[in-house]
Amino acid sequence: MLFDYRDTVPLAGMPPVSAEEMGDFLRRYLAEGWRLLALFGLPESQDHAALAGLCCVLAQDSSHYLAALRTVPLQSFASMTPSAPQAHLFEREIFEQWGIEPVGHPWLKSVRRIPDAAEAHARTQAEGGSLASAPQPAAAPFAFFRVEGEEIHEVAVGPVHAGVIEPGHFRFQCHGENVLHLEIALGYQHRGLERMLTRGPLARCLPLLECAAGDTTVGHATAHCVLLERLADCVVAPRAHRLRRIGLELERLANHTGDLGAIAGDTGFLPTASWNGRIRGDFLNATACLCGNRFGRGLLRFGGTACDLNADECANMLHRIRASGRDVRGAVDVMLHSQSVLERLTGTGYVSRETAQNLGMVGMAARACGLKIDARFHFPLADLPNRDCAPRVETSGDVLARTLVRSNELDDSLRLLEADLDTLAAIPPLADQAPALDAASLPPDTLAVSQVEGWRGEICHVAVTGPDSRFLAYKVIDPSFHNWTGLAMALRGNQISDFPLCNKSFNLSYCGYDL
Amino acid sequence: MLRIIKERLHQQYRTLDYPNRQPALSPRFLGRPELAPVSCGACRACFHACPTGALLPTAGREDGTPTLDMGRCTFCGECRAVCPKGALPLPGQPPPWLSFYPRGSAGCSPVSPMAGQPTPPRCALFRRSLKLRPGQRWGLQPPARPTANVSDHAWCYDLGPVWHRLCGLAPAC
Repeated sequence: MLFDYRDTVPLAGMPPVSAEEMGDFLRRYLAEGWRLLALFGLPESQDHAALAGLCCVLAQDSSHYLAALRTVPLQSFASMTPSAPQAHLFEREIFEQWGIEPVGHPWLKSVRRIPDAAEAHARTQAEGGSLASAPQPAAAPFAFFRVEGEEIHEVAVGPVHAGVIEPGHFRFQCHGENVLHLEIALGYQHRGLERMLTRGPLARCLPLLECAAGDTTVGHATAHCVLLERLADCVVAPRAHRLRRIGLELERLANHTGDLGAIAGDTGFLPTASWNGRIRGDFLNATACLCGNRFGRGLLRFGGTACDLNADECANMLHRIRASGRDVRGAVDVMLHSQSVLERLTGTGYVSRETAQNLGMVGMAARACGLKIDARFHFPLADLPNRDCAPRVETSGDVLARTLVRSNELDDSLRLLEADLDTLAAIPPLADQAPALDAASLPPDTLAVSQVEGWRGEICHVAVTGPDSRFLAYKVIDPSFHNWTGLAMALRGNQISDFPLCNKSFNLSYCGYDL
Repeated sequence: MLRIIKERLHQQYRTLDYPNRQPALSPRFLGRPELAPVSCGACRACFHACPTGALLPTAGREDGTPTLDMGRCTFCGECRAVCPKGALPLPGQPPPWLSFYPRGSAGCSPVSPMAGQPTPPRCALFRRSLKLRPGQRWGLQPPARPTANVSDHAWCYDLGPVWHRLCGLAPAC
């Protein structure tokens, strides 16, 4: 079923097909250059014991079209991963959540659960689902891929790290200092977010999604609001669209600034590391001027935004943004003119274009590998002018490329902010409050998709409503879900000491993946 | 080298002389919420509006007076927005009983309903927070389980453990 990315699809228009047909469909479309946005288990009803089929959503960047397909309820299916690696993590997730086995999956292990924790089993039972009745598996060590041979050694890092970061376990297979393989095991922060979204009241969804990934609050909130607006056929005022874009670009600026500073810190170039720490705070404070919260919580509402800016506030914010923009440009330029920094970044953490494409990487990390993917341009949320901005693409695929992409995107974001603030100061404020969302206003048996380019990459939310207009399934796909495997690939052939630098250049979310 | 020095001169010395100078906060920053002890009658609007379940019925009082759990509060202001006692002629002005005060002015603002009252000890503010519960660690007793209308919170029963923690309202949670 092909449809425009802004449209919703009634489930009646998506007759279930067999798993083989979906496999053929997926392979054919991926070969034509489509991307896999989501592949998930779609239950027949909200009943705990309901059987689930598969549902997939694909996107073609050039035509702005999406394609969706669903299957009849399944117990198992032939894994699509061997021919379409983009599906690898989705299939593991489906096996974990629904017990539907992808037969022939090359590395079928859990995505989020820790298999030998009794606690995890208790949680599965409490949450229900088709795995709840299964007996508790015997305690077994987490199966990691191992390299055998003389002088091969294994280095385990985490899940508790020396620093204020989130928990995750990294297992390096090394030969001397060289990393042959890295496997990343996450899931320590699994909160059951998607289950809360489908079972809880609709009004609670937005606050929950605002904390899906704390540094992408505006991104996830925008994706959720856009999804509901597409479902409810609600038109958002252009002014609200601009306010949302201001929130998104401020988030991008703050995170890119902080990460560029972190890259400088790991390179040993301390001036930029220190300055960017402060400048990141300036952008966060500008976000607080917009909505009262430095991370953009409470900025968005269904149908619009919760706050507006008058002409004076626009002028004040513009002044601050220009000053901070000048600061960050100077700080980053100094770093990029330093030969020692360039020497350290060049060739480190290389990911090839083919690898990025095969793994379905998105966002800034994919653009650094030469893939021209940017949802702001391919799947725009509103027809706002883009002021000479374009997807910033580099081809070298290393840490330097990711640094340059971020650096170029700083300029784009500053230009967009200036344009939006100028326009907001000139047009009249929002006349009235955004309309309240009534749960009954969502159409029954409908699928909707929203894609938002957060600072890290494309955030995709997919919702399917049931016969009673409540969510039958709500999938949150953070860009980290696609990109963690890319980070693991980037480490191959590098040294363990390159890991912090590679990690900073990606800066992926743990809780956005764990949900 | 010269480029770095030039940029260093531009970036200046920005360290704040804290605490002699306080950081400038956004005028939209709501600050620490304060609740005045008023009788709410049958109104429970703020309980339902709070996205994190930070407002709880005060233990031992049957009139529905809320208590705020500062460990859960995210300073979103939803409670202020829905409070019907804030039906004031001046739009934008906070209702008299539930107000947010920017840091530094709490307890000393002339409009503060808490003005003149002693500031509650810091540990009392966080007594019901997630981290300190059940409280033995700090020598505090766990709070009595509040009661509420169960049907209002039927949705939280079969949810994950997080909602059980977040809800806090329903007796079974």
